[in-house]
Amino acid sequence: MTLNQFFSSLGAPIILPIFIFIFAIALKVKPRDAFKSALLIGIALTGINMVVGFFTTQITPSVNDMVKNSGVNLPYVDVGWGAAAAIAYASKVGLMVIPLAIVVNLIALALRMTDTLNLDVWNFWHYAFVGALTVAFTGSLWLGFLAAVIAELVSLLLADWMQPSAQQYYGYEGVSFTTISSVEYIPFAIAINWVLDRLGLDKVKLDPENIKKRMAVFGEPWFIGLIIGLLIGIAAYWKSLGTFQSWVTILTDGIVVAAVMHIFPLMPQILMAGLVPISKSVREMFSKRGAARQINFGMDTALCVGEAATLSTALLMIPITIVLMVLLPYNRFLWIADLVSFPWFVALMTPITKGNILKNTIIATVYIAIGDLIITKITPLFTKAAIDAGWQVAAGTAGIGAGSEGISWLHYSIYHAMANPLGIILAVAVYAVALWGFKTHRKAWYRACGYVEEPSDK
Amino acid sequence: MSDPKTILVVCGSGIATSTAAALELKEKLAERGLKVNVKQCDVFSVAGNLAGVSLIASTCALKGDFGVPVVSAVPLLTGIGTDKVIDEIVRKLQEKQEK
Repeated sequence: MTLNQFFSSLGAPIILPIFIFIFAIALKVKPRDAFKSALLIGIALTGINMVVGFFTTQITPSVNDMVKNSGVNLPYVDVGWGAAAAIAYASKVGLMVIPLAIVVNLIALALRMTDTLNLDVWNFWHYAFVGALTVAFTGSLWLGFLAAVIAELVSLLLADWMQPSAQQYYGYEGVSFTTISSVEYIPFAIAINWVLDRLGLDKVKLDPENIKKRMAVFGEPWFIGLIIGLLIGIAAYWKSLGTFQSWVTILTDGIVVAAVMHIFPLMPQILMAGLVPISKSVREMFSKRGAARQINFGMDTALCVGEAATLSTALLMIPITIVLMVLLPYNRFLWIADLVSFPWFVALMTPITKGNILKNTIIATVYIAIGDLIITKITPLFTKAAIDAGWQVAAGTAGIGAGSEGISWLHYSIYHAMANPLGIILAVAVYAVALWGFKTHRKAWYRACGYVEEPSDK
Repeated sequence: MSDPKTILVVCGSGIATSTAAALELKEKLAERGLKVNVKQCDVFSVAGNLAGVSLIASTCALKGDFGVPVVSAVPLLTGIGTDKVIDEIVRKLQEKQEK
């Protein structure tokens, strides 16, 4: 039996825990804690597999009927970023991404390519994810690792770029934000924000408290799930609304999607609980080397999402995205689980627009219109990567995806670039030029992100 | 000794940062001999999860009046200033007890 066959037969819920256990022991985690970590991760992967399998089995018939009967052509089902994280960690790149990302970060720090020490081990899954897409696209594991490394270096650069502005706006000292699904929109936000300012939109102020009050229930995942489930059912069986059977299906769809939205987050929670001893160990290892030079600690953008402008924009984006997904003729993606992921998407736009909800919403809406095109193209590959990672996707499902991850222009660019030697050179060149530009014109780049220089700056 | 108090840990999704903060919180409070129940939720669902909660520990810059003290749990994630924040939480829980 080859090594590959050995790994594939055992599957991710067994292999990943073994690797995690070894890695945790290497990081001096106590054997009992390491064992529990490893088991929790295997349990989380199994749990996620259960939910994705159940969800797609239950909802696929109605989704397909909806496409057939109402012309709402949205056959690709959104299973959410939790599922994407699980796919990422369960992939071959995922096994090694944690040690790989740490080593790359340390080298980048030593070579002064970044000032950020990324403590956000949980979000390494994004690097593994683009790696998994690359492996599915090119067939090469090495290119997958290269993709992960490039994604990491880009996220570190963007984090450094945004750091002063984010610190000024959110008040977190010495912290930078490395979450790819937030930082990759910084350049886009800067560009659109510039245009909106020329149009005088920075003068229009929307009231966050009002928005939060009116839309509060909208933000609760179970409510979103219920509405979407019912809408899918009604769209599927609108021709037969007079029959009892139709309503049985419609109401079932409602409760199933509400259940998935409410219960599903518990699975990645278990995954995270498994990772905690490892990320604690990594953090302790690093903080001993910490203060020799001015280092930013890379954290999850989750720290920023409570802020009023971000939250209000995220709430507004829920109905906007639902309408857009139906209206855009090129879109095939049915947003469900990731309708709650907008806080991350918006969090780093807020310091750029200075907390302007209207500008945030316009920037986000424009990007989603583009993002729907990207995700429609990416979904077949995502689905392939999921099946490669061992997920049981129900028969007849046209495709599954994660809204927040699939709209990523960075992932799309990277895996396409990796398929071509010229692409690889181009990707590295773009990064190198951006890095050089940043290091030679720091102040200008900081200002572009919304940083206002203080009198105390030298 | 009164019943264990309930702390609500809040983050963007109720999944990642709140789990890390919740585990750290339980561990550090246990070191001080304090047993607490910890609930987690996402930033949208705070109002619906307040029953029986004595304190909110948030990793996401939560603002608003929820009738209970709100403490930033970010130091639990960065490892910087952890003891100070635990001190503050212990103090706020004791204040509540004395009411």
